[in-house]
Amino acid sequence: MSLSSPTEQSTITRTEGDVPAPPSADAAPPRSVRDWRWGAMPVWLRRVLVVVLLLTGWQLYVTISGVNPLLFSSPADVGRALVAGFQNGELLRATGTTMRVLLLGMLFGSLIAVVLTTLAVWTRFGEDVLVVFSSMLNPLPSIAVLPLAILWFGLSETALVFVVANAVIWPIAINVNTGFRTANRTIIAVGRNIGLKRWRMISEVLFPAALPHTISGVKTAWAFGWRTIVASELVFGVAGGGGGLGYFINNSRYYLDIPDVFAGLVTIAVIGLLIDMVFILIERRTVVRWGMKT
Amino acid sequence: MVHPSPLRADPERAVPQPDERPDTLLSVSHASIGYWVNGTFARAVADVSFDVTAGETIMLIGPSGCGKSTLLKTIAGFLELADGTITVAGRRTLAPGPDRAVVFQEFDQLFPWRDVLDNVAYPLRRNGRKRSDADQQARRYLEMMGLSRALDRHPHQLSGGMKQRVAIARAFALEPVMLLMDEPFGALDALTRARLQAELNAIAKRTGVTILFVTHSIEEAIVLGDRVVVLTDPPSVVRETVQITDEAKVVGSEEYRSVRTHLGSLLHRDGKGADEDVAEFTD
Repeated sequence: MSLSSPTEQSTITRTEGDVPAPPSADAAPPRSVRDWRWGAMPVWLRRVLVVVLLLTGWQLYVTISGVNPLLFSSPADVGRALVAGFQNGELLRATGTTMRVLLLGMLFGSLIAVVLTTLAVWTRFGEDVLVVFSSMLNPLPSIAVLPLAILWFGLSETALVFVVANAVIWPIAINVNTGFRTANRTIIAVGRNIGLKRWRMISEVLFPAALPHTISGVKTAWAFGWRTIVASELVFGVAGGGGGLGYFINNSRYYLDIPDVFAGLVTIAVIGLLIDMVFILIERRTVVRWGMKT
Repeated sequence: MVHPSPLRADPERAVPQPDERPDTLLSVSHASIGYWVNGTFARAVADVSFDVTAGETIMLIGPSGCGKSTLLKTIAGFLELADGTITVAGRRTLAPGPDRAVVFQEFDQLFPWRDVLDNVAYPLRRNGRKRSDADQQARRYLEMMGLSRALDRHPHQLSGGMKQRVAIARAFALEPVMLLMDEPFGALDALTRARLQAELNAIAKRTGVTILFVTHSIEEAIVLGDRVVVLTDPPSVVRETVQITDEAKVVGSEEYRSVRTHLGSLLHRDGKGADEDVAEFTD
């Protein structure tokens, strides 16, 4: 301990010396010096640069290696396919279909999760049901219930919604339940002291107290749901009106329209990015503002 | 006014005690409280009796672990009595309620998702007040605690002292039958603590609310209390009830020192479990 401490100390000092002074304008010395180091740039710029780097590398690889265009597309081709896909409505329709099923599944799944967790705080029986069911069903890849869903609901959107709902219930229920269980005891005592009864206690004290857990549960659920819906569509093909993104990707491969395959994948990635930004916004306006998340 | 929930019939109504004075607000009679620990019943409070008159501030003091907090939580309705009776305004305290507003020691007793104003106004709304009415009352009590300029802040933006001020304003705003304070200044630094004691004295005088205040500090007991109930080591009983005169409240006066010495000797008779009090007593 005493032997290692000088080393530690010097490391600390060096690190501190490396940290640049805050590059804000008002703190700047008389002549304005632009700090071009990576860490000094704003977050959005750094992220955009990473994407640009990725695209450049991708384009360079395709140009230099001369890879078979039936196996791998260049970003330029994918960009053209994206524009065309959204212009002729095919990709847009596929995205809409997927999102609709996904949102319906999320809606039903989270409603069921809320009911389950509410019962779990109300009664010991409800808690036991939640614990047993979530430990049984959470590890089950929900795509595995697709055959059953098709058997029960036919080749319909209902089957897909059912599968997605299955994927999202458990992450939400487990997280909300953890949030309830770890809610601050003092706050709960205050709630009882000011005369709150069961329902208000849950909706106005426990739920807000569990919000940080709930948000991370919904985030996980969203990722699970996304994977499940795309995977289901790959297996499922067309349901009712038209196919979703999974179907779009698989169908494009079938017709050897490789840029379209990539366009479908890129669409999925971009939507994932957008949704992540929505979550960040929600967190900023709630748990971050309230100091419940550091 | 906040109305305590309507008087229900039999179970909460205590049998009137023949020796009970008419202005007795809180009556603790042969209270015995304990916990189940690994299948055995550990008695924290053995047999405690005392009465509190309306408008009085009574301090509960005793060595660490003597069950003073346990007693407060039982009066608040969070814990059950093993034996004896506790009544507030003639009703037994079987469940928590806004007629016995509690201020806890913990800083995190505020709702983090509500701003300062709403932390005080929300309990009023939930007790039958209209929004505008509740807001107005909350403002009034927050002003009394010197918080007018922090109304739109969230609890995490407040210092420990300010958080406790909000909690005190919330409890007073409920206009309870009596106020229960569980070492609310226990985690504050000395300076903030002294300030809050003065503020509490002022607001208590202004509102005339009956207060039961748990503390482990002899100084705090003298500065705030009309009477001090001294408990023994657990399983605890009342060792003595000490009257605090106005002269004794003047810090440094002869009277103050003699009361302090007396309370100190009462606390240390068992000679253990009172380390903090020893430190305060000897400084």
